[in-house]
Amino acid sequence: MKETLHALRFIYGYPLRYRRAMTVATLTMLAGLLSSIAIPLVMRVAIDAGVLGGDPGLLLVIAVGVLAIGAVSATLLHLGKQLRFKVASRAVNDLRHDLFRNLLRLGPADTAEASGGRALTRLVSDAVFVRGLTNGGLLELLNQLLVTSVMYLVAMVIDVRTTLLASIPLVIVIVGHLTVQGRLHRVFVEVKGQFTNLLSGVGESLSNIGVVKSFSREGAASDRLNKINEELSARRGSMKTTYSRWEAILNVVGALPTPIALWLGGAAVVEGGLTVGSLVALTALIMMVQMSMHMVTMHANGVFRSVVIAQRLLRIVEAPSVLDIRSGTRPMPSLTGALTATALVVDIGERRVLDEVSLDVTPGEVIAFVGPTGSGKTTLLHALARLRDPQSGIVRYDGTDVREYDLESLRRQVVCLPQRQWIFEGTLADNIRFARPDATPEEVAEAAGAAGLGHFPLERTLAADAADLSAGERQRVGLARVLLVDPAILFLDNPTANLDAETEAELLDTIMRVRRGRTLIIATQQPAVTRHVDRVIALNNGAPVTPTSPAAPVPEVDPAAGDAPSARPLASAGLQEGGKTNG
Amino acid sequence: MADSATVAAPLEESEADRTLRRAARRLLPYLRPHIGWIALATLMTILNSVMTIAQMYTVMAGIGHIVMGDLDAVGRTAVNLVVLAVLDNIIRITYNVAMIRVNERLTVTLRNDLVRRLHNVQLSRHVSQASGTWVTRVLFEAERFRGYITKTGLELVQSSVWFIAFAVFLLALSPGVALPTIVVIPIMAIIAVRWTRYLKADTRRQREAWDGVVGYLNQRIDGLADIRAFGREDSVMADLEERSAGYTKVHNRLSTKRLWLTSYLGFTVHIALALLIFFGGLQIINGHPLGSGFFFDLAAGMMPMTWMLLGTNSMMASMGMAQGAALAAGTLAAFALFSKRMLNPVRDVAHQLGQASDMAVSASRILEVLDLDEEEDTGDTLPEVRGHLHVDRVSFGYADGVEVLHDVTFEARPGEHVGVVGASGAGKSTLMQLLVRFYSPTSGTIRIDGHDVSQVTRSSIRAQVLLVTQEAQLFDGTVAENIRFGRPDATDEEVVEAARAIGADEVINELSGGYQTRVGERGARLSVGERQLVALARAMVADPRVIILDEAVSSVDPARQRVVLAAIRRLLDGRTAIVVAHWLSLVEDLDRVFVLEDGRIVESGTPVELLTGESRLAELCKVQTGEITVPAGRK
Repeated sequence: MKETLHALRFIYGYPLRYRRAMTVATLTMLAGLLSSIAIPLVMRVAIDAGVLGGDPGLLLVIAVGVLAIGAVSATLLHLGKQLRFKVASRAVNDLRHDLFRNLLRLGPADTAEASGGRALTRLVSDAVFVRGLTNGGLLELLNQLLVTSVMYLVAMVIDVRTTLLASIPLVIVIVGHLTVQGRLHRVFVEVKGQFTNLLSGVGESLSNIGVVKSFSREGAASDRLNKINEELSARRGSMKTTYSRWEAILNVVGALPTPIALWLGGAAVVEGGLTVGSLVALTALIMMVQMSMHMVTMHANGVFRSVVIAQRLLRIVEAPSVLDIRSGTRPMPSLTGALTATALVVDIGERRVLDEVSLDVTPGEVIAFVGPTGSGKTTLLHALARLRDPQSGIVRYDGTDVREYDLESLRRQVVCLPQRQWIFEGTLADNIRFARPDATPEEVAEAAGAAGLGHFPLERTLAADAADLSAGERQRVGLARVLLVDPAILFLDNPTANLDAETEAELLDTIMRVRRGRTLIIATQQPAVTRHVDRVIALNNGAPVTPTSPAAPVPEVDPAAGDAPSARPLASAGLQEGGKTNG
Repeated sequence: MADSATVAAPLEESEADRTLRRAARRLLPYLRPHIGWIALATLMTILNSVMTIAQMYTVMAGIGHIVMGDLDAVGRTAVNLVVLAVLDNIIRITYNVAMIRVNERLTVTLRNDLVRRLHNVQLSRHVSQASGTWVTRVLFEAERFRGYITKTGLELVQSSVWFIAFAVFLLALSPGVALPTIVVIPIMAIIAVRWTRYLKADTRRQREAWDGVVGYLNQRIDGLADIRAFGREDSVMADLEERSAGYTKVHNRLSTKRLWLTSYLGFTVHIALALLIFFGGLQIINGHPLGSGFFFDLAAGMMPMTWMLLGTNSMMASMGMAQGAALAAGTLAAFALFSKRMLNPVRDVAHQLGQASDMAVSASRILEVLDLDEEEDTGDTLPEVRGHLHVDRVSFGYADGVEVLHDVTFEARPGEHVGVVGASGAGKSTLMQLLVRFYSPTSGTIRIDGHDVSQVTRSSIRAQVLLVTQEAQLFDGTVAENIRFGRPDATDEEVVEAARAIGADEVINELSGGYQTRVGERGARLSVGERQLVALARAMVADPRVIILDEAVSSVDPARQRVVLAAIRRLLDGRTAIVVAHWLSLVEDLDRVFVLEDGRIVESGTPVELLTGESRLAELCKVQTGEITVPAGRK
């Protein structure tokens, strides 16, 4: 219950940011809805005095009156809705932007919600849900309830007994609808989950298409997805069928007030207690109440579902940030490239990834972090580059705690290149300029040339998945981006993974050439990389870094040979200096 | 930055119409298997109109009885109304069940066809289109399009039926009252349709702007790590806000215009009501009771069921002035009571018609997938082979016409292990893909035991010649399921046996759930090395005669490299193998090696011959071991 309220507060927070506009819109619409209550009352006069009283003049007046009421009601509803539409658009944008901002803040490894297809679904279709909530949802629910109460009151004024008896079935309907909704809520969540399964299943199968084809398993792979599809469809179909069965039963109960009103009201007319016009007005009002109740259950349904959606969105919004929010605002002065880390501790989930890691780096030093997958190399890079803050411990550049600096100015001097370079649809020049949008065409061309992309036309359009770039070229795009930013400290995360020997050698050559005196730290699994560095630091699961004096170059390593030094478990005692592992 | 990954080209007006016509031809057959259910739903629609009119008529008659003071008849009317409500809801539920069935079946078939088609197209189609785009089409467009077909199509039918029924009913009651009212409805419909035409361009623009936002988000989500790394969060946010603002503008304009239509239609109900009050009331006052004459008999003839239910035939026959006035009052009341329900269908149709250009975009996206050529799989079945592979003067170029392999010739005898070495872009992967007939050579032939591979079916080649790719691609499921992917009928013992044979058994048993460990989406819960071992066990269980191995040991951490290398050696043992060796450590194991450069074989020989001489291979090895650096000036 507490969670439900929390989710509702979160999701309604967005339209309610525009409190004044929402209030005006809601009140305007309420007035519009209320004015429609006048129609049955006018009909009463038309029948009693106009038709049965034989007064054509009155009929004309009433006809004009109906038009006037219609005009007023339509105008008010129009204005209210228009205002709400605008608020809804803003609320959707606000929510989407907040979600995206949170995604930017999160480390991708920290939350499954950040994975491609899922994140997109949240940002695109889930966020749009707020539109429905703004236009309908809780506020419209309140409006409808208010209007229904007024209709009910007017009906009571006309005939208390008939109104009271006619409303008994309505109570049953409301209780019934709430029960059915509660029951179906769980199924609704399941169906949503199944859809996400289908989404990731199709994505997985299509990105693994090479394997599927190699084993001639196209049929089996599509059958597997089709099965998920069939199950999803069957579940959703049965949910809808169940709902519609209940709805039909409740509809029959909900239809009872009209005959009750007609019968009891009719008796009152015959006994002379009620005029024909009053009876018509009464029946009309009870039918309107009945319709309103239908709307109320519809909106209540929307509110129920909004909780499910809101809870999914909250997973993004409430995922803990990997950065300390109390970031400083000091612009960063020009760095020399000196870096110290003291007793860094990072936990990801339950696991301690870095355990009291300390490190001292002198300006211009080139260091390699080596160690098996999962040893914390990337996490350490992220902590040093302030892509995440450690749970405890301090990283300092030139002796100053990195958290004192404004993040944007930090990124202009410290860059950590991820393992896989992101290529978006656009020209090569666009892709390079991404790192510094104000770069001149000359600067971009120079960076591309220096990164070894001189042979590649800058204006050639790249596809989103960069199928036309080789793995080596892809890495070079990253290097060109770095050159454009020209940072004092550069971190590279496994830059030569999945490259063949020659491409690797060429790329390393370029990296060392464009380094130009920067501090460079590379996380790697490739022995070839360690030949280019001043110092190798081996990491093992969460073990502390114990830096000693700069080491001698690492001996060549052939991982293929069974007794190769690097093929041994690195640093069984935690972390060791390179070059001494085979000691 | 242009982002249009998921954006189809904007459709011009006439082109949209053409697309819709083509889509109708291609996609309407999807409705055919459900024609029975659709007919049932349509019948229910007609009955539903009859029911609404019957309810109106009953209320009308009930008020007549009240005016005449006949309380028994009023009681009967009330009971009739309950019976009608029950019937009405039986009709509705029948309609709902039929439509849920049609909708769900339609979505399933359309999606399944899209999925199947995407699995059966040539590999190059996947390379040229990001898989995210395909996923969107399979999941969202299919559903959206299904919505258009059933909603737009059936609502048009429903509303037409309703309009005719309602017009007949009103005319039957009184032409004098009916005509002004009936005239309003077509005018209303014409204005609504014209208005939605006027919205067409805006609808298209909105769709385009939306696709722009989605495409932008889609790509940025992909680049989150880089955006953070370069501290570009603010500029990306600013970009997104600008795009959102553009979309919001178009969206608000469109929804305001749509709102005008809704408001106008809401007001039209009042126009109709005012006309009825005035003309209807006037007629009664002037002594022309509603519901007399020819039209009433017509209605009686058309609605025997209503009659039967109401049992009011006798009342109609003895219609007098007093009854006439009472009925008139009832008519007015009934009309007032049912006015919304009468006019809503017209509004719905107008809205649906406004979706036409949206529908065209959806249709063109779905057709783009359904029109992809499937790989044809014709020819003889490759008989069981010994594994003699002969590549004879093979050249190949992709669709863009650039030749990437030139006149490649080599041979691998049964059981022989042949290595292919070369820089990335030399054409190694292409050559491997030709060997399993992912593509066919532009010229030259590839023969296995003398059978030209272009003359035998793909599936029979792949049953005996297996390509093991560089990335160990796994599927969400258990380790055992992933291994069994290699041969679906393998027993549990065979799965374990295969893993044991390549030395992966120990590693797998160390996983939390052993063979029943779930590997996560794309194997994400396993390390790279573990993934590779599972992939190799999968190849082992498939037990092919020839293995084409795109080796990727280098991306595994050193601790695992030994295990993976050992596994590869065991997998290759006794089979013909073509190995793309990125990492030269495997080269020494091979019987023969050739070096591929720019799509040509530049040298070949045994590893010993090549490594001891002045060869490209020796040079490459030295580059890798760091004895020499890359010669300056070489790309």
